[in-house]
Amino acid sequence: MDALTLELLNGASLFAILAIVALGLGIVFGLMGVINLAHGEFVMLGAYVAYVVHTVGLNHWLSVPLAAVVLFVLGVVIEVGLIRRIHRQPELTILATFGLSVCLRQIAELVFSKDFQSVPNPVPGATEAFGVLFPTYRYLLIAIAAVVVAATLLAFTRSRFGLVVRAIVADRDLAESAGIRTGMTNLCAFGVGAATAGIAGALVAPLGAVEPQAGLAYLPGAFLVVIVGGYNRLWGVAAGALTVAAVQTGVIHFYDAVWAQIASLALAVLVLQFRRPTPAGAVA
Amino acid sequence: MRTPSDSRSRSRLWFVAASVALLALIAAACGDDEEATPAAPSDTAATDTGAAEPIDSEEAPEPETTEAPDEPETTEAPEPETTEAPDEPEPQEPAEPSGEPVRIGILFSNSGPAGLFGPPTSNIAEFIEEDINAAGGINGRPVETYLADDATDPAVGRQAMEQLIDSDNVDVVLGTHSSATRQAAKPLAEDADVLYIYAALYEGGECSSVMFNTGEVPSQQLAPVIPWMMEQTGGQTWFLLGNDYVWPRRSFELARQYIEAAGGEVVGEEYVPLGTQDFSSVAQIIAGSGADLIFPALVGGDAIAFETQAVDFGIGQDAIPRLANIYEENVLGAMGPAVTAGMRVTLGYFKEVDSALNNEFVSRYFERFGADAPPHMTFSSHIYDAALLYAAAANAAGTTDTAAVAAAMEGLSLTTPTGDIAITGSRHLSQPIYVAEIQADGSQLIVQSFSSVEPDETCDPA
Amino acid sequence: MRLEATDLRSGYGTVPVLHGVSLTVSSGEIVALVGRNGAGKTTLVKTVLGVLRSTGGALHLDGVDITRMPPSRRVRAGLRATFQERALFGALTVSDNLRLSGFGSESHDRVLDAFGPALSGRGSQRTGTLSGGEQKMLAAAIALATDASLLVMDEPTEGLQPSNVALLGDHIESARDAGRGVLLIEQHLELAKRLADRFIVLEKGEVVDSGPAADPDLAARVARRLLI
Repeated sequence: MDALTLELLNGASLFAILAIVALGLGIVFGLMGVINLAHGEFVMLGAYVAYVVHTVGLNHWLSVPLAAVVLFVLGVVIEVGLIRRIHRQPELTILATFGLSVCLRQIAELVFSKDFQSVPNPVPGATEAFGVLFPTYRYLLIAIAAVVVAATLLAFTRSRFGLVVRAIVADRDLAESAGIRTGMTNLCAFGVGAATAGIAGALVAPLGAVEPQAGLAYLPGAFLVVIVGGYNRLWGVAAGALTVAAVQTGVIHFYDAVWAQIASLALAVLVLQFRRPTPAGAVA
Repeated sequence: MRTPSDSRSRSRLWFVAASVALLALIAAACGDDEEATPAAPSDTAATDTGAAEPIDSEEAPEPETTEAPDEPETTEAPEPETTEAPDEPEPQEPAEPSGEPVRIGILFSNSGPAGLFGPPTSNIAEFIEEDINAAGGINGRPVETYLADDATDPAVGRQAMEQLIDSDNVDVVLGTHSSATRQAAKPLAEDADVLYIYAALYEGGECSSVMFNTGEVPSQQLAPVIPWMMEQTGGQTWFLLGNDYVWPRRSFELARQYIEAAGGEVVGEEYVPLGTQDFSSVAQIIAGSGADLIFPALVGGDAIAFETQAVDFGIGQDAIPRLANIYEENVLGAMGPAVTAGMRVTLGYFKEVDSALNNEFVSRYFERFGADAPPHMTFSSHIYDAALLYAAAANAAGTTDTAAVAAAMEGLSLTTPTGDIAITGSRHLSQPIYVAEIQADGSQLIVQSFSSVEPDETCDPA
Repeated sequence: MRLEATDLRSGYGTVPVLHGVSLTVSSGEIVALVGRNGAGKTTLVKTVLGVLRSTGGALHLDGVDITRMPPSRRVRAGLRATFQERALFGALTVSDNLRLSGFGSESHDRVLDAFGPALSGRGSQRTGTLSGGEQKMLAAAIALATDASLLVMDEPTEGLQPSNVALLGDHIESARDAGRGVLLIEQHLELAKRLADRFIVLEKGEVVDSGPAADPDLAARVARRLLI
């Protein structure tokens, strides 16, 4: 019973991490059709924001909004300077964002060195609830990630902005022809996507290493979530994260972590095999 | 229906091409510029006119003028000497090397996931040149080092090896990089008949006519240390947690033998993919195993993620002591002393090794490269030793011919900052093994050492 | 308001379609653009609106160069088009399509009632489930209901019942009478003759004939070109 509760909590925290890390990737891909290979580096930079906040002695939680702001600005600059000019050509965006990822890693290396850094856990220890001990930080992580993911998805689906977004996803030219400034929406989307990556980075920073290469480890998981969840519906990020977290946690529990990774990759392959081509604009 | 963009895109192609080129340029500019270029000659030999006089720069330690550190006869840097002639205290100033330099290639990881181990190695390349040249070079010829980065990628590593052999015309390649890169690069060294000394700790089993493997192998790191660890802690049951590749698997295979031979038991063995960030489920498995001891063979960020998360799951070092075989200063530093205090690490070298030779070497290192320089550690130390071994063997052979040097390598023994080392018949290295315990302030204290630990390897390339 | 195309060129990829088209449409006139399939009419509409980038020539709206503006800015400058295909967001509701074109919910009924009962009260329906003709009417109704001063309509009557064709014709005429300019692409020659003040004949991406609709010779030439 306790073991089950713990696995559910483990699954929930994995879900929270996957969802918050993949959110920005899903937004940018779903909305702009841009495959952003530098997304992992945005997460890495968010973690460095948390590191800097720690180094100057400020409260860790401050790094969450701060990382969002810093990465939003960076995202806007990158959208205007790079993505805007090429976003209609997938192969070019892949090349350009790959180059961007290399560059961001190198910049991080120049500024912070190659060394592993870390951000101490602001709430060390565990909390007893549901009859089990579970790390306090993970409870907070689950809560914050859930709020950020839900708020972002709601903003993108339930508002006038959400309607515009769905129109753009469905048919960019037609949206333009209806007078919608899709360039502005792209800018927002890329900025928000980068901002959520920054939040993800700041949130996961106390759970692992902060280093220039850290983004490389986050990118595959984020892609897995987006592929499994489906990239032309924004809620797919949540659905994908839930599915991947359930599969991973389940397989680790009953088998091991290596098979868990294989299982989630197989899941992605299966999803790609059996997904029917969705009509344009079939956005949840 | 995205055709309308086609014409637009064409006219923007130039811009895109320019952006990509710019990015590539920036990336290249950001990158270290020392790849595959001579490391030190630029500020020593190359600046002098004509004949190479690499030792005459200001940075070189000058035994006479410094305020007499402690041992005047060794201030000259460790001399590669074969052990049968230990004391010749009279500083018989070796003849200045001259002529065509002997080129020493160093294949290492200076970027990518293992890139953080690069800087100490490129620092040590300076010492390799200085120290070998100060001792008279190789057969009277000066040495030059050539560095090539594998970017922690076997395909790049193969190209880097090609560059060293074909463009830089090196006489020997010293390697500190992954086994994957070794496997990719080795055939090139074999085809070109270039001696290749792989100096990184690895899983063992390598055997080739052009290769020597001087890094720690699991049998060395574990055979003496596992029984010691069980005796120290009283722990009997072990949990083995490693990244999923050959080195942790080989380490655990041997660990299991040594644990069982010592009367202990393995109660869990788990592998996680490289790049794992979430250890919550694994932590739960470990907590449920009831293990007394954990042997984590995790690398880089995975190690940091596991250890920092483990504390909150109640399975930190304070609850279940660790014996680690790769946790090095960078990784331990990032975990922080609150997490690491009490952990024991088994390796072939720590900068804390307490010998006159090493103390002097380490202080020279930090004087030269700054107090906050990336610390000298087992990888860079083994590269240094490999260079000294090569120089000694080539001097003994009187040539840089690969077969002759390889023959001279067999049975060669030296005393270096690492300790007493000797090439074994299996083309590996008999070497000291140290156990460091992490202190409350995060420093490493060597609590146990085993000298001349033999590798459990066999190799007969002929 | 005056739309002026000068030596306008465009195409798809490396295939040119328009080889230098010049035309004007002014306030208070209906210009019928006719030509056989493949003449480049739809390409012209897309280029005028900007979803297809011109490869040469210029477009001016009231003297302002709009050649390089994105479609949304052209729309804001007073231009509006209905496309022959995919003129609406099929996955969205009728109301959402109206909202995207800037109509507050209070004005939805007015727009939908413009074509009689066909569209009335169907705001919550998914647009893709309307019949082809109903979608055509909705697209035309939205364009006509906006305050755009220059309308470009690509085959608005295709698939409509005869009674609705006549109704749409009336709406287009009243738009002209209200001082708006209309560039009408129309296969339906009878309707074109009834509405148009001027004719422009497009063939293989070039203007091959033009003139006032009242000119009986032109009407004969247009009929001949379209038939042969």
